[in-house]
Amino acid sequence: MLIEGRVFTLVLVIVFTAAILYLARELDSGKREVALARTLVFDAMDEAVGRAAEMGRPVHYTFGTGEMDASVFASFKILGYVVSKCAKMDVGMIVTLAWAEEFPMAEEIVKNAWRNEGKTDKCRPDFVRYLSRSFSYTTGIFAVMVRERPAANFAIGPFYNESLLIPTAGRRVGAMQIGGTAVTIQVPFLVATCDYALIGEEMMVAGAYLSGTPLEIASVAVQDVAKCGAIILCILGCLLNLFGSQAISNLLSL
Amino acid sequence: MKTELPVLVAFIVGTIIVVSYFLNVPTLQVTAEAFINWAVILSGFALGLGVINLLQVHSKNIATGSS
Repeated sequence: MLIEGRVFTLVLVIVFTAAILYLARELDSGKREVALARTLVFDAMDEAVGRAAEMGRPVHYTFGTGEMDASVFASFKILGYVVSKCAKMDVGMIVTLAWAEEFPMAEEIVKNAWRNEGKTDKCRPDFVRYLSRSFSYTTGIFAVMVRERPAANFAIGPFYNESLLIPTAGRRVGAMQIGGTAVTIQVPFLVATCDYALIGEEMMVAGAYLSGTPLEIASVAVQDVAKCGAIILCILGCLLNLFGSQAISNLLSL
Repeated sequence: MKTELPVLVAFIVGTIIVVSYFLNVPTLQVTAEAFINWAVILSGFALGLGVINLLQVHSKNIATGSS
């Protein structure tokens, strides 16, 4: 009944899911605590929105052209935090999207934030804009930068060739820029052009930290343990292979 | 209810797809395949939403003569 070659993966899924649920319950009841490091980027997010409020200019937020993966969902959490700050301070918001699938979620997050502040009338339909993919997306953002001159630019998500272009446009209009991506090859471009950057896993941690939900914090903590386990398995596998044993390889291919 | 129902639907669909990856049960495999096909159709609707948004934003810009 079980598909050959996927048994070990199934065991891992069950073990880590159980660990996440257990830790989430412990966190929820206050029996345990997981300390997530608060990086400078979180303070910078507040500063960026505050700066936009002082200057009377909007905040721009975008996810990149990469497909919807875990980093997009982490970015949705960060968007939720940023947009709630914007709603509190009456700062205009421009969320630009490359994927239509992201549109309903982004729109709901933006609407909810303004609704929660009791300012539904101030939430405009053009806060969230679908630009489509590739260079129509990038040039669309150029147009937003030039015409609406946002005071802050958040570029957090899976970025590809636009990773250098978008922050460069933001730099030209003097926007404070916060970038973040889990696409390793694009990290240097965002680090070079943005004032603050979330690198790789920091995005997931930021999502969990800002949402503060036990389940997400537990997920981040268990993932760290899983990574340590994977490293140990790799080292052990190499060592055993040196002595002619295929035990780890056989275990993984169960 | 507005938030719980979509989460419940996503949970059930997600669970079936994950389980079908590990178990060789024909009914599950067929159901998971159907759900994956539905996702393509749903993303088509999302594209429609995106086009409506594009029209809303730019028709307003054209009507008001803003750049």
